Amino acid sequence: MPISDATRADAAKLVQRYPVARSALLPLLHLVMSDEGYVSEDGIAFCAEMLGLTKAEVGSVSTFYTMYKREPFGDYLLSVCTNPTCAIAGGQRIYDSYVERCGGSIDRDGSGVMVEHAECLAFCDAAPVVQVNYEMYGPLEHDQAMELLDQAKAGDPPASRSGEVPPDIRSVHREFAGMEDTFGEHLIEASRRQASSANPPAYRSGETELPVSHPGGDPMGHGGAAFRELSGFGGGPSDGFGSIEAAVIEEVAEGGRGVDQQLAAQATVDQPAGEAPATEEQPTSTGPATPPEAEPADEATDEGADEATDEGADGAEEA
Amino acid sequence: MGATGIASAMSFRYDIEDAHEIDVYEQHGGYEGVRVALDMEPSAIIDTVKESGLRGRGGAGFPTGMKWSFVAQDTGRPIYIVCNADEGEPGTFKDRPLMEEDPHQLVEGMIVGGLAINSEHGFIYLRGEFRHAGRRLARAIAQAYEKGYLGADVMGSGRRFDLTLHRAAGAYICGEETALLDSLEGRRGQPRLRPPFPAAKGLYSCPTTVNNVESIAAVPFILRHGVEWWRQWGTEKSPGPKLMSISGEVNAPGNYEVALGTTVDDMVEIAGGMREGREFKFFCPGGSSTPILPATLGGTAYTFEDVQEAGSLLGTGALMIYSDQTCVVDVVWGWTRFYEHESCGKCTPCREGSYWLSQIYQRLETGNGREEDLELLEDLCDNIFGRVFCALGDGMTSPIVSSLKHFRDEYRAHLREGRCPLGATEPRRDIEVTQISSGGGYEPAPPATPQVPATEPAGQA
Repeated sequence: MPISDATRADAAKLVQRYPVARSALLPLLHLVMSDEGYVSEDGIAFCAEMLGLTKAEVGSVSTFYTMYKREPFGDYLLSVCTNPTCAIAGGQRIYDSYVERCGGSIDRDGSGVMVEHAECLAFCDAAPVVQVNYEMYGPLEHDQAMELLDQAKAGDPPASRSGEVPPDIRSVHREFAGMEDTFGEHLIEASRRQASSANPPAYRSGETELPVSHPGGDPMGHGGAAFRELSGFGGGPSDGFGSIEAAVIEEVAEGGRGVDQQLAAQATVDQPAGEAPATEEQPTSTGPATPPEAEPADEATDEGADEATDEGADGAEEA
Repeated sequence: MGATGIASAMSFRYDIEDAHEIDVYEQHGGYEGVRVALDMEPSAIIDTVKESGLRGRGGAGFPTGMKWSFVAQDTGRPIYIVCNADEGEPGTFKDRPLMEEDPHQLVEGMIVGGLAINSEHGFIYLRGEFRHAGRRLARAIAQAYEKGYLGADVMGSGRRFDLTLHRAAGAYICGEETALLDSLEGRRGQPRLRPPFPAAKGLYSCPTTVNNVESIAAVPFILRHGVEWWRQWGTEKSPGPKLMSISGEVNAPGNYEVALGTTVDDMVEIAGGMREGREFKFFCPGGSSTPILPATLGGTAYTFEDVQEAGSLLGTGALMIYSDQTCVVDVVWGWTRFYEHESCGKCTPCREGSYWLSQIYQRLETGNGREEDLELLEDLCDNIFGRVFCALGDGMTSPIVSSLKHFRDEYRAHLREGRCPLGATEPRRDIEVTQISSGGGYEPAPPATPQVPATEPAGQA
């Protein structure tokens, strides 16, 4: 299902709320749920495009978390807690009856429902509990639980314990994406400041610890924008990194490392002596902070990946 | 030792109407903690928290003040404070009510925590399923921004603090602090190898502290009322009140605030006593990842040190009470399935072990158990505990090992009778030793008889 233009505009705002663009992936997937009612191949491709990731990377995240559903089911999701305290109180029986009555986990009759077993929903004092679109109901007698299913199928669930009538699943996920939060502008400003500061956060991954403003750091986020502004490349924030010639990137990357080394040298000089708390429990945090370039052993190999063309290759030959 | 029994400290606003609105909150002492903190040096805030003896309320019980003092201050990179609001430990429901009834308490705590560790940006990583808590928090944060308590100039002090509400998407493992950070970075929530600890390299490789909701919310109280006030409850090593989630087969399960040091038996009484016709048999003191204890140890004072001496852990303060009508094997099987479902898959012992443990529990509980299964359980647990990246794997083994220690006779009764003696699960005769259809290096045995099966599976001799 193609993603609407409105969703695209919303997504661009969400991405800006974080110092590193990729942090917006979970909210973006919630946004896809609100657009499509589930997460389709198109939805995954859309997130990948927004964040400069591969579809495989997005897919691996979307399948990890249980709240992202991979097939359309309708408007209401019923989650039955089947952990011991609820199970003993009748939760397992409720779940089994739900599955029986729906003929499986999805029943597309009426407004369409999906039934799932949930892990502890943190409402054990109301065991057994059922959530309808993440609104809590409990303690439920078996008959009440069955009635709740019928009401959801009819598109007319009652008010929950919080007094709220659950809206349809798309509206709920829109809220989860953070689209209803009114303080987004503050977060955009805070994130922009951090990413464009002299010593910005890093884009962490298994292989690299590049500052976000490095050309290979976070092209889709504030860091990439700060880089483009400094270097004079590229257009707007969504123009991305793909439009820049590879040779130019190489060249700037060389320069970027120079800046890093300067910062590293500076950080070493600026260290306040004896400030670090001396304790045994967490040895790594106690030492003076070591900038990436000066890290011994393990970090050095990480950096090697980035420098594969020159020093890294030499090192490999020696080894 | 301080007072025991019911306390009314951190939960005192729960019953006040509209306490989640900023005006009402401020009428009841709200945001005073931030004012106090703004007049203090960051190191003085941390020292006060250290003196209070506040220990982390998320499970590990690590002293909060000490954790904050570890945060590296000299990297030049931003420093982050992250609130772990991914409450998911089975039996725990203390953070959700706090965020629903008194969300400003957490917002205030985040600001104070930010001032203490020189952080300008905090993140609340909220469990996705908590829709109501999310609504309340979002409103609270918006109100705090409007009043100028959040943003570029906190209460006119010139200090900056921004607060992001990040709703997760359903994964228990993200309650583990490094998995949480990976998830917050938009990845699969899988734990990281430590060191480096988050205090040195956490979120975006920047110095980060990750604290539980209750720990963070406690700090403004400590600053406002002082260390003595906090220490009027509890013991020297476990001071303060504790938000308890008491559930199970009691008359009035619920969220109670109790002084640390109160005995488990007393807490059963606080929760209305055992349900009629049921006798207290065993309890889980701090959520499913803590070893279960028999009712004979109900006299244990609920403190970090006493519960540890009794052979368990305080965990999250999720006290689950079970009666003589509940089958231990069935309950532990339930938790084992939970861990099987929630294992993130990173470490082989946890990923594979949880599956096999579940299989063994299925045959025990359905009357197909074999004599050697009890030792096999212990052997599997031994190969998981301490051999995984994070506490999920360790936690999985806790109820198993402890139930085998305290209730071995009940396991044996399952073997002897070929069914669950309490009838929690219908006996089945269609269970194969393994449900894997092919591969696995473990030949499916023919359907087992109630007694010891005639044929041993390959590789077991």
